[in-house]
Amino acid sequence: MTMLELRGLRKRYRTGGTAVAPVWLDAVDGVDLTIPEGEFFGVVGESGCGKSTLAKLIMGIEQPTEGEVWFKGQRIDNLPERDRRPLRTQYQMVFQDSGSSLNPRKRVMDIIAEPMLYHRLTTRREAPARVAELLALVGLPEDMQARYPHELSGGQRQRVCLARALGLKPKLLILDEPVSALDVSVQAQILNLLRELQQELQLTCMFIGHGLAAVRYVSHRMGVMYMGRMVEIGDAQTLFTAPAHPYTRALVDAAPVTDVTQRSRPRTQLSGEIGRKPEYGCPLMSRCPHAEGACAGLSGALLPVPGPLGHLSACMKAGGASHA
Amino acid sequence: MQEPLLQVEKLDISFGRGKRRVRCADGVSLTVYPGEIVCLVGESGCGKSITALSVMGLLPRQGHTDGGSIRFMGRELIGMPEKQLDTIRGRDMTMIFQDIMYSLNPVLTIGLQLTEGMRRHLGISREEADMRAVSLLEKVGIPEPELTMCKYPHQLSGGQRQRVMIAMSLACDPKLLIADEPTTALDMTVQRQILLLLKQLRNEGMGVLLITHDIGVVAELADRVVVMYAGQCVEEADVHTLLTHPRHPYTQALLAAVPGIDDPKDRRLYAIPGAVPERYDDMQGCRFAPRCPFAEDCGKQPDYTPGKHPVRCERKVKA
Repeated sequence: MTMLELRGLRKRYRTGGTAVAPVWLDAVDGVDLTIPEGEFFGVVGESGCGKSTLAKLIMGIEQPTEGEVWFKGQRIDNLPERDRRPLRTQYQMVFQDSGSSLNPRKRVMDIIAEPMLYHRLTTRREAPARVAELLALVGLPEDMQARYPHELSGGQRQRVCLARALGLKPKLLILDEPVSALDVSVQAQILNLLRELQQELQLTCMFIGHGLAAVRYVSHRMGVMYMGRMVEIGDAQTLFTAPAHPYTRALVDAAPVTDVTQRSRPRTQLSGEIGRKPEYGCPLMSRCPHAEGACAGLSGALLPVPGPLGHLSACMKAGGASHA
Repeated sequence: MQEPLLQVEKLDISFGRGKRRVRCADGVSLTVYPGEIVCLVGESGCGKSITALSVMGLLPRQGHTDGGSIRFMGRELIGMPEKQLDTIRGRDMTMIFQDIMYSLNPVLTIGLQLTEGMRRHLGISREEADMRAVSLLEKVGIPEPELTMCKYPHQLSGGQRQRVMIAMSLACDPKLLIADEPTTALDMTVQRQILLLLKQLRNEGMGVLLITHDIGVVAELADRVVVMYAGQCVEEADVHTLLTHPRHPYTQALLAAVPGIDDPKDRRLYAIPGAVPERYDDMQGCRFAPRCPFAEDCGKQPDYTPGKHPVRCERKVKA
């Protein structure tokens, strides 16, 4: 069954200009994506590529300019708040900055119990037992209940955020850079926990991050975003070993590898930085080492890559880039 | 054997006084030779940034060095009067920081900030300094350097700001560059460009002390690595030895906790149990023992003698 489906999703922000001549930015620029039930889908990309906006559009924190969000066969982006509220328990989000997403004046038990009480999934009397259960689920000792967020470490706070989201028994969990602010050893703890929870609770997850290896570690399938578009989607195991899009190739090559013997491997190097998006054609054109005239006419649609099924790339030279 | 550029020996740093005194670096030793990148690795709160700041003589007011020595090009820096330190700092020895947002003055142009140090240390004219600044910006890969001279920091991207910071630190041809997590705030493709730049500077003979928590950066760039845990150096070796045959259980655990980009599907990350102790200066015995899978009667403080591959562990686990 399809858990989440995005159809031509677009979000346009005004970034400047005047009332007569506004300057627009398509933070999310026509994303189509289907996530089946039980899948762990990873999204990677550099800052400003629109991955967090994508999460906000799914959650209904932002309204899409164009396109549709379908959740379990129901269109949710145009639902009035009243009809949306009961659905909210089924999709939840965990944010990157656990420090600012927890109320500093509430104790851990109240933080975790609040959404459950609001949605009437538990009663005041039963809440403490549920909270204890959830704390155990995310691997926190029970005596954490009475603590305030500032008394916890970053990793512990992120676990509390997870427990709060899981309390509503969501079907879909969206994780926006949940480990980026954590130290390596703590990051490993949280990544392992996510993997276990996903299997145990049969969750469907969307994991957004910029650390390729971390996202890959938990994901079944992954998508790479650049300038608001998905430029490549594929199986997490093969996406990085045989990337079909030059941007994915450059990301893989830019990621520091922990193997010293790999130090002097040949690598694709993008020139410059993310700039303004060209009006037509491939957004990577100005930085891409393989760009040629025809790239200016590219629509940006994802095309199947020869090889494993379900591997899609927006590069017209798909498949060639990995050997270049 | 070349003369070491920087030699830190048994450095102790603590914060506060009397009862509230906390020791945050305990007997830290490290050496940087010219034309070498030494990486100082460890998790947050292990004392690596404080060590770097004390080398620069930039410890916050509550902090003070209690013992040990910091020798730079043969001169002792501890106890050196500020005035004399000023002739070294920013000239022969410079530092770049992680926080690119706050490291540049938002109301001064890039050109003015770049030339300030040059004119002060080298005593050259404004025109000479401007010309030098333009060539520096060119060297660090800033497009249209003349134009950038008149820009303000907010008009630059994060990667460009970090490049300007590096250009600024190169202004007086320093012998040693201390870089505190210079790429943590940057995107991956930009990070790669900055790392290549550091490598190029190293090849030109500069000594670099690079502070990082990213094992990937270490593997790509380092010549030698010093691992810190809870305020102490726990292991030091050349990068190949350290990454392929780590001997300290903490180094081994740290390496096993990092996911790789081409890991097999069934690999499970090793999560070090517990957390870094909040207060570690009053700990008896090995500071890693509470989290160490091999710990057994490690109640005695293990000794650490600098050498080819020193390890602060009684058991000296074989890889």
